Amino acid sequence: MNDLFIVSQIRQGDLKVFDVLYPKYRDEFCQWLKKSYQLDEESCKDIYQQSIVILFENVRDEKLVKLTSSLKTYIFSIGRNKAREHMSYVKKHVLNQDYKFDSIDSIELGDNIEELQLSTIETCLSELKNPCKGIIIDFYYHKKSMDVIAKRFGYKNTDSAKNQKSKCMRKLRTLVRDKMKVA
Amino acid sequence: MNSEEKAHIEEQIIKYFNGELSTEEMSELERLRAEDLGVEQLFDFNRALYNGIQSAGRSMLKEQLSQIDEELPPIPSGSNNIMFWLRLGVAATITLLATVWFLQPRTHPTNSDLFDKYYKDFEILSTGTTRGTDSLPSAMNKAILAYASQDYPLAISLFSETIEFSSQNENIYLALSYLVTDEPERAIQILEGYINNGGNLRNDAQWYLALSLLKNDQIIRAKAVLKEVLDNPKAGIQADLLLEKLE
Repeated sequence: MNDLFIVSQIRQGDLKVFDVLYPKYRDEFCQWLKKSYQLDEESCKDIYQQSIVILFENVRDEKLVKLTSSLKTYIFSIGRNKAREHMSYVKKHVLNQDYKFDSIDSIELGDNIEELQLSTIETCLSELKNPCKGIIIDFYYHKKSMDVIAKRFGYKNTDSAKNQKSKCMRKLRTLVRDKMKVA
Repeated sequence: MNSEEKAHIEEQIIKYFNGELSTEEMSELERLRAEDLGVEQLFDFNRALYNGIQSAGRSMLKEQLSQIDEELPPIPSGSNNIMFWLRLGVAATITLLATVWFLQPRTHPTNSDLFDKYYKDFEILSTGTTRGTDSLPSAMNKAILAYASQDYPLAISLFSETIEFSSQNENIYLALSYLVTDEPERAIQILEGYINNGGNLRNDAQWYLALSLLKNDQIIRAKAVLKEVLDNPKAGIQADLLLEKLE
């Protein structure tokens, strides 16, 4: 399976392609990260997975339209940036012995609130059952068409699937508002 | 606003984040946001909601990758006996070679060492390019941002689609993106084209051409180009130091 084929499958939303892509570079990627950044195996795998997710999102958002280097170079390049982010995070939050709650600045506080919001919304989404959860993720994250979604969840036509999507979003908003105590 | 209006506005906001609104619909939404604080609050809430959905989707995809991972054999770590003895053998060989190396007279640093020491990314804000990034067309802007964030494969892809003339200053970014992704031949080709076609950052291009030649182990040519850079107020000192090491 060559690079162009893999990218075109990702573009078409075929997630099965990861069964082939993921094992293809995992060992080499992790050995490289372990050697270059002295990371443990779990962190290496985590960074590899994040890199594959970014690859998926870049193809989905058409940031990666034409491959001018190999897919391996592309993934490793994302991985290097992620490893650097990881290292600076560790340096700041773990290695800094003087780090105290008093020193949390407003930016960090803002980040924490945002993280809390994200995790609340994720929790609410996981509380929604299928088809709602699936429809929302398929449409808003995987950017699948309503036609594909209608077929996947067995709706008569696109309009029925669209109505269901609107209902699901209303349900999600209510759940999130209840949890976040927003009007 | 009544609950029906609120539901409609919230749908429009989510469409906005999902890139589904027409220009007219976007303008209308912007107008409502500016006029009504309530709409602005709905906007913030739905932005968080949209980001939360993206985050959940990401987590689910990552979970799928973890499941694939669980079915794979462990990453070879070299901890089994065969690997242990193999490594021991390699270690012994390295020790022997290191001893031989240590007993020999000191040699010069490798071309690769010199490249790593002297190479620095082309600074976006101090290039003296004729246009500010604010006025750049969006495709070029995206390419420069990709370069600035060290996403070199993406930078190569975007610059290759956007650059029109071989004397365009952005060729330097494209060449350097190739250089750091271990394709010095392509970097040399682009930089030579830029210089020969009268690119106005000739001195910078020559400095990077010398480094590209160094990385490609073309030392005689690298030295010749470095000699031309000596009078350059910006890179002259570096060129002089590098020449001294190469001599």
